[in-house]
Amino acid sequence: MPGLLSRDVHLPERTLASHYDVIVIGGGGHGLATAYYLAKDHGVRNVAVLERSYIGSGGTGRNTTVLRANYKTPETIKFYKASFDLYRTLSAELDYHTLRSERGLLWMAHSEAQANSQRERALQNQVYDVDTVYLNAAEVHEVCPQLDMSCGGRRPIWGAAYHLPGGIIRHDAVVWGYATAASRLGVQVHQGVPVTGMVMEKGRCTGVRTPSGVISAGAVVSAVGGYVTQITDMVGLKIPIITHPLQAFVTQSYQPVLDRVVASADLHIYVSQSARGEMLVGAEIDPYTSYSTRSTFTFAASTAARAIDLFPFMAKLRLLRQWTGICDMTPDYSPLLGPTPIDGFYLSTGWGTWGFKAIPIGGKAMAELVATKRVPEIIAPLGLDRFALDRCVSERASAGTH
Amino acid sequence: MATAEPRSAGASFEFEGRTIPSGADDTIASALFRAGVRTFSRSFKYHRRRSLYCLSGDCPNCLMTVDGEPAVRTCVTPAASVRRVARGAGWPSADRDALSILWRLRWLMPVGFYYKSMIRPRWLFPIAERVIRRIAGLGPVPREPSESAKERLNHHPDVLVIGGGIAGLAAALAAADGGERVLLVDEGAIGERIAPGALRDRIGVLRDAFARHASASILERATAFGIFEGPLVPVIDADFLHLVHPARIVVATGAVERHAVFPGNDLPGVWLGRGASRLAGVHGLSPGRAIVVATNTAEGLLHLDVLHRNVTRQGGGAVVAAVVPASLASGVPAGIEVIADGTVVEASGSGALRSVVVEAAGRRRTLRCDALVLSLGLEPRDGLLRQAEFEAVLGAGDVARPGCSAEEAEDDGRRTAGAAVPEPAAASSQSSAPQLGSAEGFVCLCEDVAVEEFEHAWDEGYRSTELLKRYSTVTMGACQGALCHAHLKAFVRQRSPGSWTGSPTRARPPARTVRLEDLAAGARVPLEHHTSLHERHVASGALMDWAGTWKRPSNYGDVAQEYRAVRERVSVMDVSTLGKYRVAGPDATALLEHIYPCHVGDLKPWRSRYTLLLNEAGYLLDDGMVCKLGDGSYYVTFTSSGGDGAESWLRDWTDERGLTVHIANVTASRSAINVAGPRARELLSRLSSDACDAQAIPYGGLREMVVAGVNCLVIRVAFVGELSFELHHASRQSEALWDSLLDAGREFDMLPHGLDALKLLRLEKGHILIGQDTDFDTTPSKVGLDFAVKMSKPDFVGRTALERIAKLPRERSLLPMTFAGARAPEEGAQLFADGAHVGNVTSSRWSPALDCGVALGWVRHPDGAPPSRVMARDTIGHTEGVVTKGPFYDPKGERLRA
Repeated sequence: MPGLLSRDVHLPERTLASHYDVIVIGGGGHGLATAYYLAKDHGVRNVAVLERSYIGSGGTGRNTTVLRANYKTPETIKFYKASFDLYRTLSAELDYHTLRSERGLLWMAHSEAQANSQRERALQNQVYDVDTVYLNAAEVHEVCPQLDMSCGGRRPIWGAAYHLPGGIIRHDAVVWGYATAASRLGVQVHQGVPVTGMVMEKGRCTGVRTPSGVISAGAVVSAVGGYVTQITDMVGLKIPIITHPLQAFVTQSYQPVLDRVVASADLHIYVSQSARGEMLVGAEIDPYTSYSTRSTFTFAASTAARAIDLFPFMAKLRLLRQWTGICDMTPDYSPLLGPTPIDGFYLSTGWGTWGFKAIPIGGKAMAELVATKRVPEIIAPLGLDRFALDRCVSERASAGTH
Repeated sequence: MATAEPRSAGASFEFEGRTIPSGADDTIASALFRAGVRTFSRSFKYHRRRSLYCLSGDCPNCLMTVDGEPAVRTCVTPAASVRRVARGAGWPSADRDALSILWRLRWLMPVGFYYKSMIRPRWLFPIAERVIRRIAGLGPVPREPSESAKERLNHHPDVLVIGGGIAGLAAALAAADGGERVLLVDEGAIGERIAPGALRDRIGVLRDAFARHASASILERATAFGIFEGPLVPVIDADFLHLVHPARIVVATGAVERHAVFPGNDLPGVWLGRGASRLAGVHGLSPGRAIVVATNTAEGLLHLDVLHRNVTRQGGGAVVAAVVPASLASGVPAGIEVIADGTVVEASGSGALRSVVVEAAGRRRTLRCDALVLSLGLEPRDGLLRQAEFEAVLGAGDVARPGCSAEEAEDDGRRTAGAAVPEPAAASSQSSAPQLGSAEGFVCLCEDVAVEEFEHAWDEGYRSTELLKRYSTVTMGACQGALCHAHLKAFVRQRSPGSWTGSPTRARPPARTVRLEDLAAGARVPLEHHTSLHERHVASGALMDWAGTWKRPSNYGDVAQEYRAVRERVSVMDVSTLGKYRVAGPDATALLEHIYPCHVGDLKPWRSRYTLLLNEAGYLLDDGMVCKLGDGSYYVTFTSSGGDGAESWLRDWTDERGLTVHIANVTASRSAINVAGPRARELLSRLSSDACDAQAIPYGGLREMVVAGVNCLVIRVAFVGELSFELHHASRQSEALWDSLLDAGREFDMLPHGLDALKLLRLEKGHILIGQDTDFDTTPSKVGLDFAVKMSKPDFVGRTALERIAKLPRERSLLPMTFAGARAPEEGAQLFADGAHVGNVTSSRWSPALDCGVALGWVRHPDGAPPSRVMARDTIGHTEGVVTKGPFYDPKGERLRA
């Protein structure tokens, strides 16, 4: 086991140069994946990823690690399925174990209306070869016997869309895996380097400003999440993004009993248990816009109550840590990526609560776009122009939580 | 000393088949220790044997399953009311744990090993994961879940003091002396952890002085676990979740003794000074027979003294050596060997401490002992303090100035009264950074992380506190970083001085772990709305289902009969869930004209109109009715789930445009019953002397009527496609009116109908349900509601967008379709045309009136005209359908205009 005992440098420190072919702003999953595929697929290796804090410090490192492809429009199902398929082989691709685990994901309905919605989702997933089936209440109980089928008597479970390959992964490993693999290919990952301005020449974006000076670039990609509008403001671009906090918590570690990932559309909550035994609980975005990543008591209290309704055994489990990320929300809850009206400036944003699942395909498609200057078919429906063209890709019914 | 009997006879509990006696002062841990238990838990990663260490609830060593509840800190949990205690991990038992082999295999598990192994072949990890999932965790989850319901209590003191030590008590007393209302909370009983002596006496004096104030309150065994914005400090005790909303906060949570890092530092028999002192001084137990004390602080000498006096006096053992700086040597009692300026470099023993190696003056000595007591400085217990961002929070005593004397702590506490709040509130740790010592000692007891793993991770490039934390999992365990956070910071700062990379990791709630059931206390907001007829529905056996936040009748047992009652005779339905508003004032017409895409200004009194509500993007928010009651006076309705949003919408636009409009939400105070069916008018005339013929109340009209003695606003409506009167009335008269209607309806063989029948009735008319048939980006024209939009109006919300969208090709439409086969497709069925997937069915029912399936479905037609034939695929199979024009039933609307 040479890899196991080695002390290979995963994240080398490099000196900031004055020019790169491509600068990627944001060292989260999407930024790092974009850099990796630029080097890997297109041989563009003179690439820098500029991260103002540490890599994975934004949404990628705060998300709740659920992988799934059970979306609700043809465009997004194809997109997330492509991502899911890349995730399947990602550990080998990056030579970094991401600890992906297929656990089966239940998306429960507690009313007839929601049951219809979940049935529709299962049927549509099947059209695009995504393995989701609709289960009635008895079948749900069989798949996840730990559930209180009456949900504390308050919200009896009608049925669920069951997405069999849905599961979890180690989010930090995805960040570090991409960073390590990209670094091996020559990409420079710089941490602690904020972008403070953009260099514009004749309407074209030609570089970025940092506290260490101006760095010029052939192309600049913003892979910034919750703070993206601060970047687009620098180039004078208006985008339909608002930023909401999203919170989650974990309990202490207990002997694993819950094998499935369980989400509830009506209770706005989802629960999984990691291999380490922590119960991870998330909910919908906070109802107000904010850049604050401070956690709230209201979230912990109301989410704990709903978690106990689903799983009564959780009553005596102990909250270990709660945290908050911020989400770049689009009007239709689908991502926003592609070229912009500003030459040399590309956007990979609008990742809201769904960005983590799309890291491999988002990075791959953005790399192709930047390297070839052609919009890959798979992200063509997700461009900035869709809002003006009345071609929203509505995932409002399926992406509000995770 | 070290007797098998507790000092005062008391209760007992069961421990893995044994009966353990406990005294009144005992914690679970002290009772177990007295009974000879030395293995309190097995560590998370290597399953190393762990015993008591801090005795202050700060380390993970004593976590056990207590009365079915896993991961309870037994060292701070009184033994008195406990029945059953067991250790969590360990197979076959915690005493003999086969998994302790993992320690010998640790060379296979360097930091981050799981990121480097089991990548190929791909089938390997799922198997390995199954094994990991078998052995992980601090203990089993409870088999018989029982939620104990606590209640919430709110407190609004001037000052909240967290921590009842010297500093906290002094702060509380000073604030109370100054006339402030003070709440003092302590996670234990005040003073209980301090060995008898001057300090404990002083605590008693301060406590009594504070408690004498009328404005003073004390909560003991009450854990404050977070400082949230507000400030809001939740505090949990045995009976309540206290929500404290103080004007200012004093955090006096003290400090944890510094965790020293050297090989063997986790062996049973290695103690923190305060823990050992507490064991001897409070519980009358000796940590060992031969005790070595290593300290470099004055406080450490106090612990040494407590140990020496108690242990020697009771004959349970002896302090054999003291490792102290030469400057403190004079404080060591006679008879104890002094090793001046020495450092403990190693502890050894197999499963328990047998000896320690001390280095002094360049020479190493091995001392035989079974207890090593370490008092090497303090790290602030600042998990709470660091959570504060903008709140008025002051630290006092050890948490702010670790290592201050009792007198200084008292002064410090007193100074917080009336003191200016520094900003931002942060611990100003005056202690030096901890020594990281040898590579092999454990930095983190929760996750078994050693210094060498820091080094390894650093070499691999994980070069900031945050990355090191995530890569090694240090600070992420049950102790919340109480022992290891300082070491993490020190390591990074040592390696890259002055860099941003050494900043503290973010302090997150909770500062102490907290049961989910305690968090959830009082959090179940009853978001379940009932209409004033709810009891009537339940009494008549209706099947109730959720409709948004409402509970509504789906049916009363026989949907087909309910349907026929509406179509053939007459029926009633409770439609009180509709959003209902009175809108009046000089600018009421201007407001409604602005937010509705239809005309409002030309509406005559006692006439109504169907309305849409659009947002600025031209997308449908809701629909409803606008009824004109008089000049500038309207009654408007919205859908059941859209009412709240619509109200905000009305108010926002009123503000935005600076209008003078009064909006009263009468959804709860006014109820509504729809009387529908060809004989609806006959029924009404049985109960009212007011005219309700087509002249008195034509289609599109409304009027006031007295029905069965109840004043009603009666509105002609169209939703179900029959002659219909909506009776809006005061909610308190609802049951009387409902009863009268049912009573009079007997003559017509009347039945009430529920949502199931309604959904079929409206579908036959081709009416959409907002939400079910629409998405957030639905424009009126996509769902055939162009008639309700008057583009001739110069302005209304959404007009600009609709104008722009009108120029674009329409690529999606909601279309009516019929299915002639044996059944209607399921709602959610997928639609195909010429083999291509084109959309989905949103509403679908078998129509008795048309004798075929009728449905609404979204169809994509980017290349022009929609298809004329579709195939629907659902969980049962396929059905063939034809795209038609709606409405399916009574297309000319003759019945509803009757």
